[in-house]
Amino acid sequence: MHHSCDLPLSDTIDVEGTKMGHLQRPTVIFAGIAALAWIPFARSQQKSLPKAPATTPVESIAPPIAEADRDLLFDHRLGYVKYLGHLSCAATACHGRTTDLTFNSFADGIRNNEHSIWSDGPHARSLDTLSTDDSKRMLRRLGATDTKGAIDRTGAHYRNCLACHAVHTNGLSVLTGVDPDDTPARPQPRYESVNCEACHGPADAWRAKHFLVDWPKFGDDTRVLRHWQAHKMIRTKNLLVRARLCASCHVGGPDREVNHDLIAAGHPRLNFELAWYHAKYRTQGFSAHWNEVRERRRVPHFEARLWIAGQLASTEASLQLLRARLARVATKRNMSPWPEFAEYNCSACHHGLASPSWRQQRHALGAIPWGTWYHTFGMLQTPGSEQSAQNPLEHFGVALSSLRDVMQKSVQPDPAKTLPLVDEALTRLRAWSESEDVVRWLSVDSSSRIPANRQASKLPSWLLTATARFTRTASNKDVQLASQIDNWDAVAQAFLYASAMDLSQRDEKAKTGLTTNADGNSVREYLQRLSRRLDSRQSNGGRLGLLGIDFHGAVDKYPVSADLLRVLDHLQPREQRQP
Amino acid sequence: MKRPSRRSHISAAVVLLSVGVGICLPVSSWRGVESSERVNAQPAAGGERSAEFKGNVKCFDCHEKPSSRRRTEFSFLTEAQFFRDQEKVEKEELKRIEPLATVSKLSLLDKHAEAYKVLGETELGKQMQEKLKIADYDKAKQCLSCHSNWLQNPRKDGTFHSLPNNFKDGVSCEACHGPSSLWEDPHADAEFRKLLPKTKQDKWKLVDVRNPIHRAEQCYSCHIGNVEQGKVVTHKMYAAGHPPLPGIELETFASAMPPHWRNIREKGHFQFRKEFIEANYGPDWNEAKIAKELPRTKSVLVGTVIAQREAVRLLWHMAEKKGPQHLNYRWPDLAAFDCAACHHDLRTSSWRQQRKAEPYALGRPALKAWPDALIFAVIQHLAKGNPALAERGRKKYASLIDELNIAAMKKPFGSADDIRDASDPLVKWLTAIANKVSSRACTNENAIRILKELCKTEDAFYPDFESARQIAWAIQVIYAEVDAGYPEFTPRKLPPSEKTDDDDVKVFQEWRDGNRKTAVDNAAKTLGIQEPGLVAMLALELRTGQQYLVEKELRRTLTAASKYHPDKFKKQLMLIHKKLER
Repeated sequence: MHHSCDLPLSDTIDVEGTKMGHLQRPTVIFAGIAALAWIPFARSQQKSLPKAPATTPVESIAPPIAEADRDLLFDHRLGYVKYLGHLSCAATACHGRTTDLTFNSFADGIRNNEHSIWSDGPHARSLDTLSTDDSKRMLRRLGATDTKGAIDRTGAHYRNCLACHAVHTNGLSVLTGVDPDDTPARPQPRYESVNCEACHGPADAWRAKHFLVDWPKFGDDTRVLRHWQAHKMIRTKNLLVRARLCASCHVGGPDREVNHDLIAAGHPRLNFELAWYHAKYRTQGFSAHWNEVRERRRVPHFEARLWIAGQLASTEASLQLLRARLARVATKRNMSPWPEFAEYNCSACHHGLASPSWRQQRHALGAIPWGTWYHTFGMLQTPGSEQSAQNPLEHFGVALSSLRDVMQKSVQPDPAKTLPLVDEALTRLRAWSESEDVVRWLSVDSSSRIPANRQASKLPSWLLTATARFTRTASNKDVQLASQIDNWDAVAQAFLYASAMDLSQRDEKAKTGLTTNADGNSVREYLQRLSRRLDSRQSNGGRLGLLGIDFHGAVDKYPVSADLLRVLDHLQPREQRQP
Repeated sequence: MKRPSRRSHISAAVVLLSVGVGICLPVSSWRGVESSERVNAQPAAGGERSAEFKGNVKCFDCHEKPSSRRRTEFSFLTEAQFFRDQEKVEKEELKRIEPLATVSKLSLLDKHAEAYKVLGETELGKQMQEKLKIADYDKAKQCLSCHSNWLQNPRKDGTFHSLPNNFKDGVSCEACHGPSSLWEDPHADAEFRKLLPKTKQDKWKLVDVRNPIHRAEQCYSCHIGNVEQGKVVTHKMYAAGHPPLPGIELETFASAMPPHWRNIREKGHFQFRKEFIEANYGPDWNEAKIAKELPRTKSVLVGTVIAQREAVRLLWHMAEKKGPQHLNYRWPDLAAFDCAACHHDLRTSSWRQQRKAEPYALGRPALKAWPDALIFAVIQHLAKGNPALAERGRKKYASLIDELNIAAMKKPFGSADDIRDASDPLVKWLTAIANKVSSRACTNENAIRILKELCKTEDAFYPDFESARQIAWAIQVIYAEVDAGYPEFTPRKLPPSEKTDDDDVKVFQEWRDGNRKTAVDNAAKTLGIQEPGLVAMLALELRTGQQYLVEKELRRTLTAASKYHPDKFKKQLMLIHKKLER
């Protein structure tokens, strides 16, 4: 996958919809999970926002992280669920309007064109992707062929593909993790690309009801949640639910994975970051089918919330995936590879061999850094020891560090010793995700009206403290931590964080009628420079390999640049900034 | 070790246990001493003396400069000239008037003489000491085992001889020829030439480097690695900065030392030549047979078989046992695998993904591929053009190497037990093959057959960079030997009044740049592989002289490796094939 950093800094909120007023026909072929094309930064357009009407304060609309939603996503006990297919949504009067694919007419509600927009987007092609020449070659390399040499579309390899690339419309969802063949009804399999129901839930129970006046809208109370759960409709407006939903494929899970075998066969590496993937809708020439302008306008610090929800969900999904991998090795049920190289930083091994090299200046010789993409944020929350951990996030950081030490100590970690550490990390992650801080900040229904009052428009202090470690680490004040941000993965994560925070602050300023000052504009410049630098094809005329690794050694180094430091510093509260 | 293309059409179902090229072997060649046996050969308890390192000083007495008393037909007696430190030579030479002579002499200085110096005096050496926390590299066995004369022959209890006095001379005479305390006296006698090499080895511990098998073992103990001798570059050492060990082609690397010896075709007449031939080649060898022999081609063939064997043995030993304490590796040590298996560019639809690999091998650290690259040519050579015999040999080898690949790649890093089980028969088979190649004549007819085999380009044949280098080097050496033959060498004789101190070196240089180098250069021109052809594509040229330090040359090689594509290489091979047909 190209690490194209077409990032969320590309535009601020545009209430009038002028920027989204035309839907560009996608020119990007959606290859698996990754959008492969670099689309240059869209020009920035600054618009002032009308002040949102005051309604309930943000605290009161925050329900606990919905267990019900989690069950719907991850619980295997659901039993038979009937999927109807995307055509059941496509009526012109419902979601299939094609005459006006813009925000304009229904800026504040249902637009009727969701299906049409979706069908032009990347997810609608996920199944077709499996039939491309590239995919066929991948399957052949994996050995997913029958005795005659044809692609075997019933075997385990192909089922793993379908788990993310398709929805099994006539039977049980692949999403639930239950083998369709085990269902009593055994309907003829009919697969569709990642369609409406893949994210919104199987529509059988709610299709005929969800548009009625008495359907409980987006909401805050238990009654509404129960209602949605009973109808198996997923609350995608809840940021954490959405993050977990995306992560279930874009990171992986117990029943689906992109492992190193798959990557070696040609599948792009998964590099998911929620805010960045949202931004792709703004920068890559296709449109979101939901009203993302409204989200950003209504929810204070929407980008920041999105970012933290993404971090949480990605970390959770990747730990669950690691857990499943370890469990499979332990039971020896199949020849699951262990160690699983996809757990590690690609460039730990795939790097040039030129000497002298900055790699040789680091501490651990010949070790393989683990968790550099999904755990950068978590790893930074290490206070040093269990005793000095002060909050659930730091307790989680301690557990994550112990896990990392075991994963890195040997190139072949002992599954039996590793598994309990993963469990401990997951337990503490859950404790953090259910802590008051996170619940208040993340269980936000993006369709609710949230006031732009002083309280809500400030980033919470715990988030600032947690993320300030990026700056501290990047400026090498903490030697132990500094080693964690000396690779492409970590710098890119820091950059994505910086971009989300920058955009978040801009949005809030715009809402209160403040214009961005010159200081802020230079931050954008730094970010754009960084973005070009992190994109391998930008830095060397598009000639380089996917990770920007070249044996010439020219761009094998991603030092924490002064640009990143400036940006990170700017995101600190004024009094904490570097003089 | 993997060449899936050729293996793929060989069904694993047919495992020929008792037939095949390797099996119809002479039961025991007199030259067939297995490495482990030789290395562990100890002086018998009591009676026999143990050999000790004496240092270069004695060697230099005779081998630095021929004198009127000594005759130079058998050896140039300038050998020691090349085993000196460039800095010292420069200091000496600057006092003199002939800077040109200095330059030419410098280009002949052997890098092995700097082996010790690089540990402490280069930036990289210092960096590695710091990273590996080596306080005193004069005591660091893991470095000195290869970078000095040390540790050649471990004692029976696994300990090593004490540090020889001259260990700071780097890899010098005794590092290859063996500790000299026993043989330094007898070997100066011309009568010594009449003796069997095995006698010299057993009685005096003189290593038989004239035999390509033992020569290869000597070189590869460092250039590939040898657990028994305590010579292993671990992954930690690489990570600290040790340059990657490139795939070695025995004859090409030897030519770049530069060679301080002449092979039997290059030597003119000398006292006891007949007896020497019989002792070293076998009682059935005579001048007529030697006149058709291609010693360099044979060296390539034997070298590649022993390279594969030593690579397998290294893998096996690293997987199975801890080795001497100073090595301090833990299985899986990544150094046992192919560097480029992991350290490669990441591109979609790269040639790496186009290779037809077994599904089990996908995404796994692979074994080194380069020692495998020429084995099929060796089998073709032994089959003497008999297709059925060649096919049997191929199948046998394919089944053995398949076993090993499965053992090492079925899961990441394989299983030590399976690796041992698969290595053992493979090592035995390779030893048998090496003995067979070594004892048989290698003629022009054989060489041409080998060349054609090497130029074959099947569709599914995707050699990696190092394998391609092996193939190209082999073609270069073999073609040069076939093409140029061995014209008689007559050095210019200067009247005594014009003779200078450098003349002995000039004689050597004349020989080296005359016959040997011209032959290789001409071969490159004829085959069209000179710049910017294969030579540039594969960074084939190995530069002689201490000014070309390994880590500086590395960048050139890595750049070539980064740009390498098998299709381009195969295209060149096809062109060469066409030229050979003519």
